[in-house]
Amino acid sequence: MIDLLGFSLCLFGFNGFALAKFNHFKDVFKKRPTESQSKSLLFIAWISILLSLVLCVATQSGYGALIFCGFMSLSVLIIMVFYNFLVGYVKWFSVLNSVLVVLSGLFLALN
Amino acid sequence: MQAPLHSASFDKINVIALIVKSISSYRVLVFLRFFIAIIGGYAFTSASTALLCFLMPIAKQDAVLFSVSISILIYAVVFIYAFSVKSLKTVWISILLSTGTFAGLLALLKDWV
Amino acid sequence: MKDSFFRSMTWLHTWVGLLVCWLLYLIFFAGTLSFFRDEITLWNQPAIHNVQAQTQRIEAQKQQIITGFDYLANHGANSPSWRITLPEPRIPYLVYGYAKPKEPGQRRSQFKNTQLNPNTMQELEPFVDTKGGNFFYRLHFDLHYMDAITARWVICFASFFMLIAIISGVVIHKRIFKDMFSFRRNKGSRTWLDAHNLSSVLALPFHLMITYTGMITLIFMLFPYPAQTAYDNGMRGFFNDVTPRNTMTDKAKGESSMVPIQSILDQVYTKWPHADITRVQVNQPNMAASTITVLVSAGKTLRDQAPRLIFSGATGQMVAKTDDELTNSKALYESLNSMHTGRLATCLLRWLYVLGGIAGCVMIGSGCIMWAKRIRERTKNNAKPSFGLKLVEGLNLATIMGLPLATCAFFIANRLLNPTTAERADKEILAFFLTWLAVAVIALLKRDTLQWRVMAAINTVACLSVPVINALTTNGNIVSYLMHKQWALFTFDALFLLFSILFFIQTEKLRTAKNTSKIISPSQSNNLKRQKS
Repeated sequence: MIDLLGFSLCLFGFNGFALAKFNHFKDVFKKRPTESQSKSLLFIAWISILLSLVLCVATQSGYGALIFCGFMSLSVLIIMVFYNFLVGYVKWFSVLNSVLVVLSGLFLALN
Repeated sequence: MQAPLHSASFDKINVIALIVKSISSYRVLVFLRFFIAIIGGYAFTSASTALLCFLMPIAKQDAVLFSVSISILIYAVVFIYAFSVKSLKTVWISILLSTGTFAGLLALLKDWV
Repeated sequence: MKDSFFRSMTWLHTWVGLLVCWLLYLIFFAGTLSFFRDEITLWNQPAIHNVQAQTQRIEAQKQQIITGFDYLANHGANSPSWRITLPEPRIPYLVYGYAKPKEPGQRRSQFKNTQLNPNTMQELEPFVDTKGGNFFYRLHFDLHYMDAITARWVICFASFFMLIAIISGVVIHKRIFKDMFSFRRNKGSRTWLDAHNLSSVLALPFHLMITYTGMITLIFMLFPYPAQTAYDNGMRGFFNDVTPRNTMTDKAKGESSMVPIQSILDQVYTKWPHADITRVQVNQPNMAASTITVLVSAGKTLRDQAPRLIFSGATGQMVAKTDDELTNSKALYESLNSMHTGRLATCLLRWLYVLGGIAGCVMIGSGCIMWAKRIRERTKNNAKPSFGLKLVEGLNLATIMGLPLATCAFFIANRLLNPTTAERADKEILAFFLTWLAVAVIALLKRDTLQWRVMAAINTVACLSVPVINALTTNGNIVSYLMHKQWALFTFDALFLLFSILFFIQTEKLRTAKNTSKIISPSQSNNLKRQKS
């Protein structure tokens, strides 16, 4: 479960990075992002990525760092596929991603 | 007597000119660049890591393990340096000089001479 | 060397990359397969297919070792060494082995091994002679028909160039994070560039790590000088210093009875209550100088040298051990090594490693194809392509399409060769290299899109035939693996089916690409991924 939370946070972060980019935002929402929207997306993305890193390293130290690198690769691959081949599903995908973050976070918090 | 001598020295100048010309040709320059980057970089890394290992004030095995762990990093930096500096002469002189210094220092410290 | 740093690095990236790309492709290909070393060995050895994983693996270890000592005392009393290899999560069987006396000319003595099913303690059917996953593992740093030391120097040279190519690549790709997620389809060489960039960026930490640490695993061959300056007797002195050795009873002369193994295991379990023992080795059994070495798994820690305790066999006293806490330098070196070998990886991390490896293959493959395509576009007006271009195109086809085919041939040969054939393991490897050679010869003769398509079609059939031949020649097949939850075997067959489908898609894509130009379909980037398994 800790791996799932780490991964979904990482994915969420890269999703934010992609959305913060002008072209990708336009592809998804059919309108231009405002300056502040881009900035806050970037901010959230960084927080999310760093949280993921901290979570991995704090719980599994060196092994966690390796896992985190792998998570980054997998996240970028998934994001790439969604933003280039399945643009229409990006919104659903983002919702699912957030749900995953919340659920795995809740699960860990409750146990 | 004069004429053949004259032509001989003329030939000599010609040969030198040819060598100079061929040295500045592109292929030779590339070869010299790769040579100093690969062989010179290797020598530099060997000398510097050996010196580093010898100078580090920690247990011998730890010094060895640390210096070999960073050796590739040093090698890569030297390699990139050899290709990023425009003047080939600077590259050759700097690498040879620093390698020589390190090796000489090591030889002095180890009482090889 | 050029006018600007940027241009120098571009030049360096292109030429350094091109010079070694096919060798690097081989290294990455075989290296990625090596992450599945145990699974490949399992598949290649039908005798152990039906050995169930133990439910109480660690709890059973003590009894297995005690039984093993009885067995070895009865069978190998005069042997110079004994070895008990316990089952691991990925290796289901148990081995009791003792060394046969060394014959003249042998560097190491041969072991007489008995493989057992740990659940029933019954001896397994005789093993077939095969290298299994070890073949790919050795291939990725020893090459094959080559002197190992020469090969390792070549590999180090190529890896170093890879490192340089990665560094210069990061420097020249100015917009590296800007177009991180962009992939332009059907745009000729732009698509190839995108595939190249994407596969490099997405696994950049992995690429840097695996290349750097790969050289670190061979570092004492590459840079022996620090050890030679620090120790008066050079490398030998250094290795004696870092490897735990018995210095207390090694001078003892004469014979002596062994202490009961129980007392030694008690000491191990006192020190490490949850020890997962992987191996027990006995040197000079029944001698006063005998040692018993107990190796345990390092688990998920970044340690390459397995933690071990060494006991005197005659007195039962502990004579040497690995450090419990590593010093900083040792921790650095050990973590670099363990990251490369990935022995610490459990299922999730192993697959992430494989993802990185596949990205590496795509990066290298798309890089060399891109070079050929750019030169091809530039020389369009001249009717005749240069020799260099022809060579590059030929080598591209030979490595990118030849290696997967050769891999299939290796596995098909494993199933079709008669189990009693002499030097069977070498014949499997011969099948691998002969297939590759055949592809290479064809590729150097003709390398157009049609040829790529033909190769893709052949690969489709070859990948499909691996699980089919497996089903015909062994008791199991992909469905029965699924029913009996034999996940390693199931995944193996399933991956071949998947790659067969992917090669089929490539064949279809190349049909449409054929008419437009000499471009190898953009889907190639995906196709490169399917080189794996």
